[in-house]
Amino acid sequence: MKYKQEAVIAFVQEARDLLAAMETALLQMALDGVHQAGIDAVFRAVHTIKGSASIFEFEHIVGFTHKTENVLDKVRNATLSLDDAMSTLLLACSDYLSSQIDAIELSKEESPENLQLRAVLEEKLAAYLQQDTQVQQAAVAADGIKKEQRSTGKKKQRRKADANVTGLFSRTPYWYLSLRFDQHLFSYGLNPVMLIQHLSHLGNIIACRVIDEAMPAAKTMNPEQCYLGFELLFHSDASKQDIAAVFDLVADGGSLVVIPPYSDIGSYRDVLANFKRKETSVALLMEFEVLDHEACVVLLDTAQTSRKTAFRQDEPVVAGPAEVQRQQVATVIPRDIPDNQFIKIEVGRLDQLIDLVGELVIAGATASLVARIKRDVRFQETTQAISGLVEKIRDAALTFRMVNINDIFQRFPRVVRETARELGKEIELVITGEETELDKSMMEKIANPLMHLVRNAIDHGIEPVDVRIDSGKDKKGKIILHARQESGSIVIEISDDGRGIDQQKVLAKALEKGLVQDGETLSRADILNLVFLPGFSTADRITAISGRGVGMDVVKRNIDQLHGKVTIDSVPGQGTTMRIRLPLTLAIISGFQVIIGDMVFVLPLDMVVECINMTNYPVNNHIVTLRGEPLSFINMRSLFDMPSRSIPRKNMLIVQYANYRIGLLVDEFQGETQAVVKPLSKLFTRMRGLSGSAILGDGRIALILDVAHLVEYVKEYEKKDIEVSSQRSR
Amino acid sequence: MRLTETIHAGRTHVSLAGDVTIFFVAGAKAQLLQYVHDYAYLEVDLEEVASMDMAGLQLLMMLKNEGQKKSHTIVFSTHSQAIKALAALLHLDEFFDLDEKSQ
Repeated sequence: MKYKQEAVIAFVQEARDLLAAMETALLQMALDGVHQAGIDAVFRAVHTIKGSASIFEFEHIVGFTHKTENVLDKVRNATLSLDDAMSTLLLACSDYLSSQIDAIELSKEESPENLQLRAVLEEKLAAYLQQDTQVQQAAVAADGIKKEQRSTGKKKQRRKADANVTGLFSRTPYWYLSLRFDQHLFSYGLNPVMLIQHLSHLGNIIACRVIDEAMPAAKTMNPEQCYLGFELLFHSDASKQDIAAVFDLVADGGSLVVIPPYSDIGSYRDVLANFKRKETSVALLMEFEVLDHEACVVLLDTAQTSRKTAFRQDEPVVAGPAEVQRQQVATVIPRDIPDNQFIKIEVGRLDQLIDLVGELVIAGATASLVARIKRDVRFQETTQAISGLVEKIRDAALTFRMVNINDIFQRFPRVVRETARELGKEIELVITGEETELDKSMMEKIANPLMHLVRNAIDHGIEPVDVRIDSGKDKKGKIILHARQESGSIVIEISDDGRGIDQQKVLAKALEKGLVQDGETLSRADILNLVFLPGFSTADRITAISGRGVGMDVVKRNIDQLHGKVTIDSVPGQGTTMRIRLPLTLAIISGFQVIIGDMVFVLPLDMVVECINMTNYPVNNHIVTLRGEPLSFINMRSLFDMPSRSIPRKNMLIVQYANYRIGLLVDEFQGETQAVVKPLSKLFTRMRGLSGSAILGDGRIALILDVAHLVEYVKEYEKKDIEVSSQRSR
Repeated sequence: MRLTETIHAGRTHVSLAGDVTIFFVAGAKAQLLQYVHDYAYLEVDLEEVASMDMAGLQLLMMLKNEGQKKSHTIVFSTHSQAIKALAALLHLDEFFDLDEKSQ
């Protein structure tokens, strides 16, 4: 399996290089004229991709490259000539292939390919082959007029195939929607905003513009009539049919244009028709980066000529100077110079950089230490300046690894839609906080648990439609995905407004399976947390999606591995919220350094709330009363079984994790520090309370305290205390 | 829909509340238009708007256009959740004056 993955990566790399070579050759020939070496290069690229793709059985690529190759073969044998239109087509083919290669790299091999685009391209390729046979028939005629004939033949063909075909393609990866409605729409009780909302569940609205050019003057405007329209740029994997179906209700009397990504420029003519002022629409198409300037010129041109031919079909169109210029522009290959806004970097290199920055942080810390010992003021100042810069570099380097959580969230609309349909439920998915950033490595590991929780919410959480109606709820269930950053952690919530978790049922099941003992007193949260135990499932019926009792424990284990936490909150009849809390853990942390016994420990600085001297406060057992509030604390020295010091100082550090505060009694505070986190070796995997190790400026090794586990620990013994005291009182 | 007028620090506020929808736009148009004509600076408070449909949105658009024609400033302020959601859906943050300054 791994071998195969590596081989696929190699294939992807190779194919990219070949496509790049093909593009270069085509562009070069467009500038310098066609030459055999160039044609051979293009042919070789396509041929090699076909060969490699067939090894991996990427049938869609094999099929497509085969057709492209057929045309190229004719070019190579000089039965077809490589003109501008053909090189445009070949470039479009190469773009299509790259998008397929990208999909393979993201291992979405099974993802539905862009069939519309493919069909259009294949049709055009076929047209060339067909034309070739026509040409061969005509070849009997004089050689000199051959070229002339071919171009006229082609024009005819093009006109016959589709009036909207220009042979140039938009570069936008998004759907373009232009919507105008019936003026009396509102009186039918329809609200297009709801439809847009519905649309947003099929994908992402990249851009939206409300068009009010049809609105009459304030005085005459009738507020009960609809004058507004929408222009939308939409990202979705849905089919054209599905997207258009959203607007079925308002189709009558309106004008709804839905254009797939990478469409022929001619298709945007329908968009122009939706506007009163053509300039507005052209400006918008350019602003949305659907068409570039040249493409717009072509579009206006075709719109004009088609109007002319429509009105005065018999009269020849006189080409004025402007017209000639436009035609020249049209023959320029419509490719933007690739913008250099992004660079792809191998993850390994980035890790190396972050590692080096980590070492730099340590070296910087060492330097400031030396400066302090030497008591050299100028040296100290310099090291301070350096450490300031190092900190900035560190922050910058770390942001490289951060990715928008939207990368995961955007998969869900589709999952929800399909799963809901499969189960015959109606579900609305609301996503918020998708701009929250998360470490890339963590992103990959959280995707599966999230998917599981969402499926669970759909399957177990949301009730079937009839049940919902009976209990007086909206028949459409609601699932909310929400992410946010909160004091050093990332919180992801999955909420549903479904039936909630029945505590009695959970408890009964747990007793039946022997997961809890009879007579054990459990709090509400404890009972809910039982569902994370291995082999637990309350579903009365098992579906293909969930309910087999594997899953929740796996989810918990996955999240534990990321040093995260998952909790459930549920109100029967009203819904369930699953809350995942992940640390921001990255390679380097800002830490707070303390001494316990004779060892140095580091805590994430974000979690430290306060430092106090405990001697000033009343203490009872392991509770300290702080400003009238009780606070549990841990004597860290006894927890880690450290030798006691001769004069123990009562320094307490108050830390917070997820709304829960505890005190940590330590021997000495040493202040802030930058620490490079190194994972602990396997020997320590069972050690609770520690999450890693760090190398300090002076070369010493410090252990990093795992605050989350320490908080758990306190909660556990608080519970025991309660049990003991309740037994006593009996 | 409810429409109330308050004067705060020498500036006129109009606040809209409830459902700004097709059922109320016809009734509210004349009055709102009057405000736009009367004041060079008008703050429209949307704090208690529970919902807004396309007719409501259209009415606000008409008002803002009209204000622009007269070089009157109309500012939408204290947006309710419903308004924020609508602005996010239709990318209308700018129209609703939902930039950082007004928050």
